[in-house]
Amino acid sequence: MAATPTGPREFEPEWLQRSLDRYLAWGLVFMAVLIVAFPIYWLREPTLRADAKTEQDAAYMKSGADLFAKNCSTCHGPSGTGGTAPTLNSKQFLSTTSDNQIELLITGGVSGSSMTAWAQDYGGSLTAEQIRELVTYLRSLEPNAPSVPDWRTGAKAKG
Amino acid sequence: MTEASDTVVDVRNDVLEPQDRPVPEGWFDRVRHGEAWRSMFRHPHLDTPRGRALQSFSNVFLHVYPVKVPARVLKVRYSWRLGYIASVLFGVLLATGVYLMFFYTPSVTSAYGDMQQLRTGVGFGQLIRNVHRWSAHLMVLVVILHLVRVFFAGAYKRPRQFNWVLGIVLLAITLGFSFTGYLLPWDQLSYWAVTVGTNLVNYIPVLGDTLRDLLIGGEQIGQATLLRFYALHVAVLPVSLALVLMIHIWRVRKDGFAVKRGGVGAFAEESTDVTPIASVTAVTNVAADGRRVRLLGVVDRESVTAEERLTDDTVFTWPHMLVRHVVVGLGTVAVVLTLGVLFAAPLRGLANPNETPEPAKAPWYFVGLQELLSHFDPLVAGIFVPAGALITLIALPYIDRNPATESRYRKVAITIFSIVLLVALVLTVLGALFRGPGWEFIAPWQHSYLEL
Repeated sequence: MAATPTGPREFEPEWLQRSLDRYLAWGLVFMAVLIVAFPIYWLREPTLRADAKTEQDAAYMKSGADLFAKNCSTCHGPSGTGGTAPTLNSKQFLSTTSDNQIELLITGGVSGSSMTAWAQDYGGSLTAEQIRELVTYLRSLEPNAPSVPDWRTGAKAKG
Repeated sequence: MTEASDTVVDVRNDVLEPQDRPVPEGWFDRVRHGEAWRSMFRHPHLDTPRGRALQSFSNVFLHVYPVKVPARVLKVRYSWRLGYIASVLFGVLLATGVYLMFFYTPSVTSAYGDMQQLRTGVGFGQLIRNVHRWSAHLMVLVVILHLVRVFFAGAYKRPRQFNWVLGIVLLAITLGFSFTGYLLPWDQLSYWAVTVGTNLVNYIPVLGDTLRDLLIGGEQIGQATLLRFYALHVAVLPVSLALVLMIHIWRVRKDGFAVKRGGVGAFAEESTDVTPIASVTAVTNVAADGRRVRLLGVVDRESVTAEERLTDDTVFTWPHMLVRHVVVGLGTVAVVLTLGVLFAAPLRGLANPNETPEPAKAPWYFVGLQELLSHFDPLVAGIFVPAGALITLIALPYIDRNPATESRYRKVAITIFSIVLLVALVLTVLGALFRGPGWEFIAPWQHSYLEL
């Protein structure tokens, strides 16, 4: 793109034009990179997010299972099959209780029962993240949960 | 291209509204000649000296720039474009920051969950967070490099002393931005980096405890701190930075562009001695080939002298400076986007005040101080050194009265600055890369405890 002799740029030196053209070329390269790269990322984006979700759920499930074995299984039974406290591995319980509800129950406990408040904010031993891990673990039981209609009375259901 | 050369405006006959304007051809031409277009853009595109000057004069955005700049300013080596890159990064941070604000609640119970949600549930959430984080680190780095460049160029000297001071203020605001943003993810990394950082305030004599309480809103970092840092990060600091940056850029223009060799002091003194003249002034520019260009505009006396003194080597901002800025801006965006795609911003476990990670490190720009603290008394390393450095930096243009900008006449200043810079660099590298649990020496190839 050399300046034409009669063109409008004759009032500026030629090196300036050449330098400008070089910058314009670089600008085109950057634009092309951005224009090509964006749709590629866009296409991959939902997969990346789903992968991140799967990965996080797997990690939460694993640590949630550990936490459950240490803190909950004495009363709720191993894997939530029930004991002195309600059966948690129950289709009826899991399908009618939302993640938020479970989280609140663990966080604040159940007044008048031996279920204490577990959150550190209320004098318990678990962090908010650990409670979310427990919720993820319990939720992961739902697809294979057996039908236990009287899940509230964990011990009787078991015995 | 025959058509194009027919419509080219002849330099000797540059008219904005030619009587024999060609009949519009095609839809684009018709739009460009339509009333709506012409009400938005005051005059047609005109590639002549006058046309280029008018592009700047009649556009509010281009009005940031002078109509003409010295040709040497266009050279990369003149400034390495560091100040410009820093402001582009600020723009990127504003845009990505607003997006992150849509999905974030500054509460200790939900902040960390919001971070995970960004990764797993929000469209482009992770990418935007990555770009925000890497741009922030890069901005701190670029602002520091800008300071170093300005020092070595001697560009803080008269008449730009106060702009250097504003630059130090901008550096402080940038660090404040990065530090307050560090806490917001509410993970172990942010909690403990900010704990270590705010503990430095404790060493201030007498006022230390009060200041720390004021900063974090309690005995230890908690909900009050998170909300405080959030408010500073999204409201106070952006407004402050925008305001000071505005003055900083305005002064770059008003003080004249840094002159590398000779005569800058003379220029400044002369221009301040000029008797004030009428605010509406005709400025006559003489182009290289002897043609005269007349601009009628509201200008102050300093820019009149600047225009007059720099006519011989100046070129039009539009398009030369502007194209360079757009391209460098695009390049900056491309770099931070690439970083964002390739490297994920770290997210450790939820913040836990009862579990101190080993080692707990301050953010990288403060880790040099942390390293210094492990060698000296807290009062020396925590207060005298940083406060002394800050005060010296601010006062530098008033202490260093040597008018020379060439390095061979500034050996003392350059030697001292280089030594201080080297010490700071060594301390930072040592603290960031060579320290492990218990602040014991560990080589980075054994195990890296560097956290960004």
